[in-house]
Amino acid sequence: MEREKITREKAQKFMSIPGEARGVTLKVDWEYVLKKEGEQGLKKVEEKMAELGYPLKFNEIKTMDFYPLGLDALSMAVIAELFNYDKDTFIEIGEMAVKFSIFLKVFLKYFVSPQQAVAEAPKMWRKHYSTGDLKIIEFNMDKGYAVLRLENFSLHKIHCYNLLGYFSKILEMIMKAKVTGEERKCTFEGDKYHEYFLKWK
Amino acid sequence: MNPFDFKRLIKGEDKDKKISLLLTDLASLEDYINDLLNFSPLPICFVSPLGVILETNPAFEKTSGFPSEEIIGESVEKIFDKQEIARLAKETFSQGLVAAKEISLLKKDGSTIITQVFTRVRVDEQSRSIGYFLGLFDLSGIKKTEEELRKIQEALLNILEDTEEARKRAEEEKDKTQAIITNFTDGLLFFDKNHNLALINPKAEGFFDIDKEKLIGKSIKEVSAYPGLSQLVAFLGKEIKKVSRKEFIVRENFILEVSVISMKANNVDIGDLVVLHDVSREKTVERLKTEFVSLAAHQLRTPLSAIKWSIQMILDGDLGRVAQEQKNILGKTYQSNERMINLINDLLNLARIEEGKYVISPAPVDIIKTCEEAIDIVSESMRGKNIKFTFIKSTEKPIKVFADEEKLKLVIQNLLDNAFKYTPKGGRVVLSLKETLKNVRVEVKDNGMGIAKNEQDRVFSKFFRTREAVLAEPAGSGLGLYMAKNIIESHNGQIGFVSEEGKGTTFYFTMPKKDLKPV
Repeated sequence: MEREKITREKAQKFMSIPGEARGVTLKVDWEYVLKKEGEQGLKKVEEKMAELGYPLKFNEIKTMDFYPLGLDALSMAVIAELFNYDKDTFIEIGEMAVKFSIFLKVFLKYFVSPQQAVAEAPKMWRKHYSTGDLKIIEFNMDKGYAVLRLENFSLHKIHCYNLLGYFSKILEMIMKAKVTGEERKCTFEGDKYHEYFLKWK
Repeated sequence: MNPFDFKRLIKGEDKDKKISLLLTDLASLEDYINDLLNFSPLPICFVSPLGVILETNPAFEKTSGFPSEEIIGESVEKIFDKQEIARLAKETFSQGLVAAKEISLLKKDGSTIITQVFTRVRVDEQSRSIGYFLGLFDLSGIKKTEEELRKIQEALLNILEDTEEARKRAEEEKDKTQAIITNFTDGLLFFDKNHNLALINPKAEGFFDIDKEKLIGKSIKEVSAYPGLSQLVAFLGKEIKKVSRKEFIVRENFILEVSVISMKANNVDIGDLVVLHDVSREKTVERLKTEFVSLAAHQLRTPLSAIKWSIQMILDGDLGRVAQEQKNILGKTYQSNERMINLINDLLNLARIEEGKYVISPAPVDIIKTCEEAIDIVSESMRGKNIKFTFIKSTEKPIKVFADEEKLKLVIQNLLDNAFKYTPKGGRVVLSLKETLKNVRVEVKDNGMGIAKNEQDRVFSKFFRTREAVLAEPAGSGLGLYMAKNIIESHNGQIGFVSEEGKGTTFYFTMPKKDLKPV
């Protein structure tokens, strides 16, 4: 993954992305930094955000509140720059988000069965983001795979990795099996939408 | 302006204020829930209906050993037995809760602990089960304590069993010992280290016609006040002197042989055991036998003396001429009769000794002279057998002892006679007399056949003769050395010998030069 230097201009560009996201999407990323890099690492992120003109504090992030969608992209880009995280780390951050997201604990009723989880997934997306449409294209229990499509959503390539980890982990928790996946289509690769192929044994 | 206050620009101000307030409340609520979970010392997790762990608190992480990031999202079967947790989940969903059920928890380090779990199902607004909370209580400490207590209890029971067994064994041993003591054919008295009477067995009670109940625990002084025991205590002394097989005459025809043994336990004196062996019957038999021997000997001696003088008269020709052949036969008859008279005399002496009638009449005696007189009797025989005889004395002056001269001469003569009989022709016999400050030592040394080692213990027993002695001289009575020992000991002297088979024997005795105590 190419290292990206984040400037005020780039930050403003991220912030111009339309749409909103729940504070939880920001907070779980920063919690990962806190666990891996400690208080000092978190402080660096807060300082960098302030330097870029967005003085966000970890303790002030309200998980249920809506924040500009661009802030998610900016936060991830800052974390990638500061700690030189690669694709796999962002997949792991996505996985960890599932574990630490209050949302998942609040909306557990959707995990009663795989079928119900699949049915509720698009609604779940919209509980996190004000934009974008998540569709379950295929969910083959017999063959052990699923195809998820995300339309009308384009944030940052890092976020694509993050979502791959996130979807994989949720599917693992539904299927109680190890899930591997890949993003087969991506708006940053010239496709019209994102498409994730996930399989399990 | 806060860059995140954009909503206020596009929404109504009141509505925004309310939403902001609600979000703040939600955040506070989230913090409260997190704080509560973090605070709880009870390990708690939340499990989805699919059996996936969705939430854990620090106590749970500590107990299971799994950090939250490793256990959240994992199947609950990772830490609990598949069947056990399936039963628990089923019960939880069907009954709404499970309280205090024991279940094993598999920790990250592979160890298993016993836990007590509590579950409560969580339902949504439509009363559908959407998972369950699971709290657990680590019983490993309690189980460990229980196990330790069980082991301690087991160990205590074992100790008690061992103690009981040991007690029974001790009891059995005590019973055995008591039975032995009770049924012992000898009388037993045990005085503890303070000389208090601690034990009397029935035999001892019978000996003295006493009741042990009245005597146990009494001091030896108090015991001495009992009529039946006063003589015995006087015999033993207040300090209970050690004696071995010493005769104690209780009354006429009732004689005990008394031994006092010092008892020790772990090398510490615990008291004295007095063993009383009834020898009355043996003594009576011995007395009767002695009386019979005495009577028989007296009855035999008169006719034998008559025979002696009759033969002597015939041999002297008082009754006419006797042919040589007849003389030879009569001579042998005379010698045989003489041996019989000697034997009868020995038997009479023996009877006297045993009856205590063998009277010693001591007077100052020159032991050199006594030796020379004894030598005169055997010297002719020695020469006849070509035995080289030497008399060695340490002084030419008379050595005075206070003794019964006849009996002393008898002893010396007996020793010389034995040396003569058991020394081959051409052998050597030495009589030596040594004077020390207090004693006189008389030795008769020969280079004869000697005495076999296994027979040496019995040399001074009455009627005993060694196998070699019988072969060499069939006529002996076996009473000479027995009498010699009695005579020497009656003079407060000591008698003994050293001998080596085939090389010779030295008999010796010592006699005090003065102070002969009356016997």
